[in-house]
Amino acid sequence: MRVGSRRFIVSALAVPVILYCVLVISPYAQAFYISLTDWNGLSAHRDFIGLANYTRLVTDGVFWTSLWHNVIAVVVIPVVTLALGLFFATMIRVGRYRARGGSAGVRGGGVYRVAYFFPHVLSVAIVGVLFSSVYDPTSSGLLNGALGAVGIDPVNWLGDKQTAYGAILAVIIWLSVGFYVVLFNSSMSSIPAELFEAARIDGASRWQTFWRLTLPLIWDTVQVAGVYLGIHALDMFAIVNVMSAAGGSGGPDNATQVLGNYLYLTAFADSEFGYSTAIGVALLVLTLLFAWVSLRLTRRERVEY
Amino acid sequence: MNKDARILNRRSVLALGAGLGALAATGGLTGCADPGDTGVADSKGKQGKVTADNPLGVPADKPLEAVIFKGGYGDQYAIDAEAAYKKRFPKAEIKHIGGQELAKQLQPRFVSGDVPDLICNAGAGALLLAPLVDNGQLLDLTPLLDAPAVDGGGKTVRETLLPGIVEQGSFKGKPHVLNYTFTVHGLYYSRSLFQKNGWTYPTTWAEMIELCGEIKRATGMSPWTYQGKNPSYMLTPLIQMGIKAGGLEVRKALDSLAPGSWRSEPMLAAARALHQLVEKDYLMPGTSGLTHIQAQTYWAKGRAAFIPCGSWLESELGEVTPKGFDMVIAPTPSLSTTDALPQNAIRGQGNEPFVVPAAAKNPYGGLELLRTLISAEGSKNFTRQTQTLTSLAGYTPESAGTGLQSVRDALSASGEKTFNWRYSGWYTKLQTEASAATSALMTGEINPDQWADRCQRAADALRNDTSVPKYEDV
Repeated sequence: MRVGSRRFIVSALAVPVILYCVLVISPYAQAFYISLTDWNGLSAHRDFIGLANYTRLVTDGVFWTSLWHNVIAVVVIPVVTLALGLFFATMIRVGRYRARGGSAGVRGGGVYRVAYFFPHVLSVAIVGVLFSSVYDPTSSGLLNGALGAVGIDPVNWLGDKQTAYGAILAVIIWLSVGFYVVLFNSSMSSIPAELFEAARIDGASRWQTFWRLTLPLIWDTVQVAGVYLGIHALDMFAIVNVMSAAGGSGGPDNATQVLGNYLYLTAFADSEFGYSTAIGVALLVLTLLFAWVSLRLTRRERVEY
Repeated sequence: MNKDARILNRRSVLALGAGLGALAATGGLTGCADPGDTGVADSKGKQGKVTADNPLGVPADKPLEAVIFKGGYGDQYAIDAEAAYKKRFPKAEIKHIGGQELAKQLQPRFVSGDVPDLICNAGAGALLLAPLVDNGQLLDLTPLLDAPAVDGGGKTVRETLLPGIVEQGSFKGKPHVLNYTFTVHGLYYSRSLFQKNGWTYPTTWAEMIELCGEIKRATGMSPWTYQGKNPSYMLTPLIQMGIKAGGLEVRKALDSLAPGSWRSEPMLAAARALHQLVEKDYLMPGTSGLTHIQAQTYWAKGRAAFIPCGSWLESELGEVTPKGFDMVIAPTPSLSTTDALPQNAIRGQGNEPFVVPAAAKNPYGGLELLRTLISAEGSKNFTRQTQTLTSLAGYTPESAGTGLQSVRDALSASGEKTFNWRYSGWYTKLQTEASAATSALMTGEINPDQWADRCQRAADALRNDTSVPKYEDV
């Protein structure tokens, strides 16, 4: 029996573990090794240069700019997206709570759900191209045209260092909110209606109901969403690559540079795969750190119901 | 739960998993990321019989693979040349790949050694050629250059090319690259618009500033725009004006990363000149946020009078250009009357670099296809499709729009004074930084002095970095 079960474990686990090692662990290990070389990515030749890439990383201004942008994204994107997502989901589900004396969403909630979700089904590349036109800096741009109608001068959204990164973050948020509206909406629908009724009988305001009842009961979902959004925010490669210049410069003058795009440019524009991989390893460390910190910070007693 | 069943608890499963993992990791299982030890394959493709009809000795039955950048020019011209090749070598199987972002496609193939026989390495995201040359991964094109040209009346291919083309494709004196197209870089404007308003193209910068004022007063249109998100488009006229003011020493200093090369008086004068466009508000509002397509389209729609570009513009804009717009190119104005080079000197540059990998399985086939492309017939076909000149000297395109005609006129006017610089292809980091600085200059964020400082710092850093291979024009 003992021998048999061991055989069972080995045979059941061998294939997935080997696959995992070959496809996940081994590339990570190799990436770490490549980051210690001066490989240019074009031939098999490479020299071991120790930690030189990492010392260069520490003194590289563009790396720190990119890192800072990623940190901003990790804070701003989850917070704003979750806040908007929770707000819209609450409005759709329980928006008319007071007015009608019962818990009901605003009129046409279904339509809103679809409308919010719609951006999420578009590919990031398409959204990037669309928004490049929306942000057209002349008065014929969609956004500037609208602003012009109320007497505001055209803003050079993507060409001005002050606004470029914010404009890109706004696109990501626009793109992501819909999914979380639907997600929170469905997790709110699993809260028994009696709880809301009880709260109402006890005289809880909508605000209190949200903070004391709804949010605690869907906290698990919010927490996972936050971590997922944060990891997403550490990437940002596609949107920056599409919305800055052709070939993804991260411009103007690195004002929208993020680690993912800088890594890509270093590898494919400068042909410095060794250095690029070092950036990748730094990004990996950052991602792990973020996941660990956020799971720590958001740990909270689970409410059973 | 009995004792035996407990064997299946979490800990033992994890332990076994870890053991298996260690086994797999040490078992020499290498994934795709590792370059391995293949090295540069030196399996030179076999040469066939050399005859008058087949001067490069192409093996008639070997398959041929070409990877062609498919951008503004398309890739039909290459498909046509491949059809001609197939006619001569019916037994050869031809594989054609037209694509973009070639570095991503080809980088792994260079590492593994499974490379195509001919590559047109152009466009955004092209392979960096300098490191490939350093690794010895590109074939020396001397056999092609010394082969007789197709219908060349006894001339070699080398003798039929435009002056400077072989040198521009050479690294440390060896020709590894053949730039198929020849483009000039200058300022574009609409001839019909200028005629209608009675404007003449300015030959000095002082006249340019005066005309800009006139354009703005008379029509309200913006005098200038440029391809804002790709500020290197604005760096090109800046460097042209600097070189024309100070002479070829300026070019040499830039290309050799000489100390003070960007802070030299002619370069500073050029930066100050362009900065006047900012000071006097002669740039189209929002320019720095435009993609090259947006900027060029607005220019063609008459929102701005001048745009700096290379001579691919006519082909790139295509149907967007209104009828009767009559775009023409002109060399940058002189900075002063004491400029070292005449005003009609223009930058002429080979583009669309073709290379044959050293490890190609059919290198002679690749060279032969390139010989077909650069023939008079291939060139005419290319120009018909793209309104762009190839590097072949002295062929007459069958049809020429105003843009192409002005390019040919500008080239013949510039003649021996045509110049070029190459640091931008050798030192991408310097080009990136200088472009970013130019963007900051043209948004008024920094002044010409600070611009020169930024560029100089980047050049100095490269010069002092021993890990960066250095190049020099001969």
